Amino acid sequence: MKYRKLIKVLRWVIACAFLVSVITIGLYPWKNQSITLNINSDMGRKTVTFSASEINALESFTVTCPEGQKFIMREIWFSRQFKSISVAKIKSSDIEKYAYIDGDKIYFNDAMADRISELSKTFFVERIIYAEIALVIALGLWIFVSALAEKVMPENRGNHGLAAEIKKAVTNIADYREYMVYAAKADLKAEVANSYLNRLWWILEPFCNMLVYVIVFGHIMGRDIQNYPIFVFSALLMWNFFNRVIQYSVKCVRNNRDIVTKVYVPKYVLLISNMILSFIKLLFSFIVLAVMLMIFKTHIGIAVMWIIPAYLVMLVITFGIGMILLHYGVYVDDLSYAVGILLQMLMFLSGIFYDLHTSLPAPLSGLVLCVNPVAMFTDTMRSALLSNEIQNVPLIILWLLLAMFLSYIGIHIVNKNENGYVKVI
Amino acid sequence: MNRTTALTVEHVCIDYRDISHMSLAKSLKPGEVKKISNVRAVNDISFSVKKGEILGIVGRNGSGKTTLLRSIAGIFQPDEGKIELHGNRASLMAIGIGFNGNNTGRENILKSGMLLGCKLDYVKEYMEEIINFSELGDFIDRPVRTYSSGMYSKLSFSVTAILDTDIMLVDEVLSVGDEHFRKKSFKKMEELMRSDRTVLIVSHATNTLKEFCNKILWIHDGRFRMLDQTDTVLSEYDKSMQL
Repeated sequence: MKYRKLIKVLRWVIACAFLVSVITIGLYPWKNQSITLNINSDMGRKTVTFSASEINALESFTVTCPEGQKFIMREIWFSRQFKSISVAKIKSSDIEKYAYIDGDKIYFNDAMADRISELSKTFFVERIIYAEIALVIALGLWIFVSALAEKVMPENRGNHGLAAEIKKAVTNIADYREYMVYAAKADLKAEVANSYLNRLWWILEPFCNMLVYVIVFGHIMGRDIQNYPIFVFSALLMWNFFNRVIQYSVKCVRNNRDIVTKVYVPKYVLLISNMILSFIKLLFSFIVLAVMLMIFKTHIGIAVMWIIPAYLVMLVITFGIGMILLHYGVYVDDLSYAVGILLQMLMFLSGIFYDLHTSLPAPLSGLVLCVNPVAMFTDTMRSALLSNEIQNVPLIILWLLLAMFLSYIGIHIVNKNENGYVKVI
Repeated sequence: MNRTTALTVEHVCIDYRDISHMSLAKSLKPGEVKKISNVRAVNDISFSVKKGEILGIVGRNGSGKTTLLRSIAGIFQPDEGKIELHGNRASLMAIGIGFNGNNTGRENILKSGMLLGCKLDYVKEYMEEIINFSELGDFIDRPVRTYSSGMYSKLSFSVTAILDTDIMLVDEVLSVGDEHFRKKSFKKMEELMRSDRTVLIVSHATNTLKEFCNKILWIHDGRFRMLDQTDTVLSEYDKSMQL
């Protein structure tokens, strides 16, 4: 009994501490910030940092570029406290309003100085990120306390706490590894068994998707975004994966009624098997992407390795959200419709076919980037692949943690309730 | 003969929660979700089975036989009480576990075998035996959706019959296939009986039960009614079934 009271108090403390820290972060009067100017060119990146005092006195200024005449500015983006997160971006067609190149110098006009001082005053994106850090800490503590509570309370006899649950999941996944891979391959084979074009569909589908976007939006966006087809296609691959797995997860248990009612299977085995299936399809599309990269002669640098963490975040977050939806999908009949609509909204808010930083107005673009994981990982992947830049480092770390927490919550909910699934479907 | 116990079921109760289908709007109303009515499908049943014994379970429709079997198979945990398998592996012999109509018979054997908890190599080792037993011949490499229903049942029976599990739970699947296959599966069951395998059979066919079982458990409306020698229980059961 005394445990119950203690746990309740602990939960209140965590919730209050989180609220207080969010309010503090929201209202704290951070002083003017230093701004880093990142000039992307065909010859690489040039960065210039202005401290707060410099910005106050800033009027028109010049930047020396060593390559001289060959220097062609592709885009200019600004970063504030987190050097890898872009807070604003000037697209190539707008650069002439702010700067021109003469000899080996770039001349920036007053408009640029105004833009910099304006950016220096706000602290919006950073506030959101700090709030997210607070969220990660609070959520981590909350999970820990809840797991502790379930361990000490006598009515939860089956549960042996956080570590045991994770261990069980890991051993289960290892045990069913062979099945998951085999089932994914077999399902994939079954999917194409009676179509003429067979495996070609896995390549054709995203490719045609991409063509649609290029035809519809290419005219509007294409002028500002270099290599627009690759820009769309690379993001579309990630989106298709996310979209497919999430749609499937809602109906996962019902679709596998044959299995679930006849033999015990940890439910995440079914979800992971589908993720493997979708990932194999994605790998096929990678071939198309590689060909496109060669055709468009995109310069790929070492920073391209940064797409690996972006993909990792995508996998873990898909699993986490998928597990939670898998549980509710069993009980709620029309959840799949709602999820379908939400996914469509999410797609338009994730900048799959437009550039988040230039197409959305200033505070909104920062908000979307920080709050919407899909926007975050597609943006990170694209900047690594197409601009050879390592961006959004703090966001990747934060979302990786959040995604792991979500996955744990999903596994926990399903573990607790999976006994009832057979009785319901 | 003092044989070790293979399975103990102690005071097992299983509830069905009646929240099957809910709309999104309903699930958001806090009052609605709590109106869960529990239906007790299995109520306080205890018994134990010795290794190598064959136990038949009888009872009218809806008396909780299948629910009990599923619970022993581990598909869901009982709400109260305990099921102890003493380190044995139990599997429900059911039609077409994880079968996908577009896959060939061979692929489905592998999938279903692995779902039963066997390793890939193990299933591959027994593949030929399963195919021979199922009498499907060349059909084994065709998609399962092209099978007749008899062939389908034959295949799925073969998978569970050949792949070794310590405790077999049989739920009305002995009447599959044509006359020839039925005889064959009966023979297989007899073979299993001799080979120290523990079997639990749910059936309405009293002839089948008479032939195989050492003991019969009679469940009525989820409650324990009788557990005794085959003839004793079956004669009582038949009496109660008379109009």
